[in-house]
Amino acid sequence: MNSRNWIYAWLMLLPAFVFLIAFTHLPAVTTLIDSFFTTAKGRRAAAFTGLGNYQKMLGDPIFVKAMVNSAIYAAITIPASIALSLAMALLVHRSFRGVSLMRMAFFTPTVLPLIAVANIWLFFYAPGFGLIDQIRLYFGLPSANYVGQPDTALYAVAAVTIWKEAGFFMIFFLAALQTIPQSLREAAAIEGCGRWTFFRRVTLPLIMPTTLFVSVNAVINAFRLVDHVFVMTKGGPDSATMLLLYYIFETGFRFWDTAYAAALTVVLIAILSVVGIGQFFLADRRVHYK
Amino acid sequence: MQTSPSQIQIENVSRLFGQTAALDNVSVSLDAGDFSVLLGPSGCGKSTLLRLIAGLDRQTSGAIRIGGTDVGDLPPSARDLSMVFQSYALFPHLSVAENILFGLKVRRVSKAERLQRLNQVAAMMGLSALLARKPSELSGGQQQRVALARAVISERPICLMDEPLSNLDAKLRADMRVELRAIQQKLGLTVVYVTHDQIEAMTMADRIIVMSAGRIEQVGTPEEVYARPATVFTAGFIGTPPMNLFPGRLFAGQEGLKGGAGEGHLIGLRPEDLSVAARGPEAELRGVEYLGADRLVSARLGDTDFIMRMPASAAPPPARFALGWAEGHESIFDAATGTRLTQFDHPTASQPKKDLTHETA
Ligand SMILES: Nc1ncnc2c1ncn2[C@@H]1O[C@H](COP(=O)(O)OP(=O)(O)OP(=O)(O)O)[C@@H](O)[C@H]1O
Ligand SMILES: [Mg+2]
Repeated sequence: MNSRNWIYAWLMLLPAFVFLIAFTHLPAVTTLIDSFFTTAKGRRAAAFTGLGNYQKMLGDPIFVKAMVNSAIYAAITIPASIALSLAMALLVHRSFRGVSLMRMAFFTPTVLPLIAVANIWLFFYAPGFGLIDQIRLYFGLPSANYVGQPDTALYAVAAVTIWKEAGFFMIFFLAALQTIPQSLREAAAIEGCGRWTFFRRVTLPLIMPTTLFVSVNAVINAFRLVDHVFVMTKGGPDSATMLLLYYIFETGFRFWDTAYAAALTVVLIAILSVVGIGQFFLADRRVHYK
Repeated sequence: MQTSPSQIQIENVSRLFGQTAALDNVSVSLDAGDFSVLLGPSGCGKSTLLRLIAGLDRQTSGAIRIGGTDVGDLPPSARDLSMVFQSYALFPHLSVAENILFGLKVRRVSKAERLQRLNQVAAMMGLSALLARKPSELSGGQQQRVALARAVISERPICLMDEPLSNLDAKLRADMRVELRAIQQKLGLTVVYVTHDQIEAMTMADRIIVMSAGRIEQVGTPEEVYARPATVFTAGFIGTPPMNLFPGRLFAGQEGLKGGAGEGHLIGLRPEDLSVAARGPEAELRGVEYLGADRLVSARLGDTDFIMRMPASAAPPPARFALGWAEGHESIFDAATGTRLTQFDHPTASQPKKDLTHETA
């Protein structure tokens, strides 16, 4: 290629490049650098502390709590949302009367903003008059405050995430299921292959690339989606729903300890990178790509 | 009547899709051990009939019996048959060996027997070197063979095939025709084979079922279907170029036609049964196509265009010539209903016997 074409190519890339560098790469690098300094306070400038911020985490009970919570939250929401979305996709994959209505119903939570979803669920959970309590009262059970109790709050928040995400993942599974030729099902039927065996031996392996894609997204979302924590619990009660990202927000923008927040962010990114890359390597051997 | 376990009887079967009938009151019996070919133009209901036999679809009315048993309520797997799909329907994530063994594994056949049968079938199909490959790493012909191996290894007496050769090139198709027929003969399979390619039908079939628009036009050996088409449709569908159909009045009073043939009839004559003669109705030459061994002569008799096949060694006919034909080879149809009028059949051209060389091929 001659130099004129090169210039042309770079010019075409320039706008995207500028934005990518200004809003992604530069902040990432500054975050990493900031994490090795103390937070500037008043007239005292930021000072280099090396791994000081990281050492501080080890002795920070709320950080430990946030890590544990995030781990539990991820361990619940990731498999549950994937399993639920796959089940929903299998349900609406066939054609029957009212199937489009059902697909739409499953997909609706996805188009709603998470904040709105959180408000809906606050109503479900509301003690006394909420949907769940009304059902409980109907069966003669005592009223319960799921969001307000430290031992149930995290699960209550996780349920919202699953409800919100499953519809979105369902679309990907549905698309993957539609690409499996009908003749495979028929060939298997002639061999006497039951529905469960077909699902396990044919469907599941064939939608593996989609499952991988969905699970990477689920992992990222498990750490990324905290909007509903703002609305429902604000990390409480007693840090019961304190998730890593929410803790970063609190540290950085409530207590203005930006250097510590930067260090926490680096930890979050490190976790996500390791999990993401690990998933691809682990799954790659078991995934059939066309 | 005694029925063999793999005889297939179709009795008054109809299949409606909404208002349109893909199959309209079809009845036919397919004998055990026969290579039966469902032949017809696109959309005539061949695949529909095959899928009904397989149990992948349910007929709207009528009954299907296999070995005398009504299979209406049996799922595909209980009908004791295998099927080769046009798209091959190989599992893309499984190796060739796993694809072939899929059914045996599902049916929990012991591992030792699986391996033994796999080796045997793979050797027969020439797949032994390819067992570890994925379908995407095979050529079309090899994939076809895997699909066939999957059907053969099931050792079921009936094998249904829906245009299994249509994705192959001409050379491979010719090879596979011979191979398919040989395997069928060797294993004594009852094959129901769907195609719209009449060469496949002619070369492989014991019995051809000619279909059109959801109905059966004729059932017969390749020779019967070719020499004595039962309807105008079959006459025009079988043969390249197909049978010429002349209005009867053009031949009225000609010698050699059985008494009474003429007005109100259609007279069918194959291109190779026509010739230049000393006497006969006068035809007008329109063009000559040289094919190497033969010449195809396009001509016109009255207002009917027709094609005549003559050896290339013979001189092309003059601009106007008297049309002659091989006596006894004409087919007379009722012009109104399009059905063959058997009372005009020549006794000399008796029902052709089954070709024995064909049987042992
Ligand atoms: N699922 C279906 N829904 C509606 N109509 C159908 C369906 N399947 C087949 N048909 C109709 O039934 C008729 C026969 O179809 P069929 O597939 O049996 O044809 P075919 O003889 O196999 O043709 P081809 O040689 O093109 O495969 C066609 O007119 C087709 O449009
Ligand atoms: Mg078809």
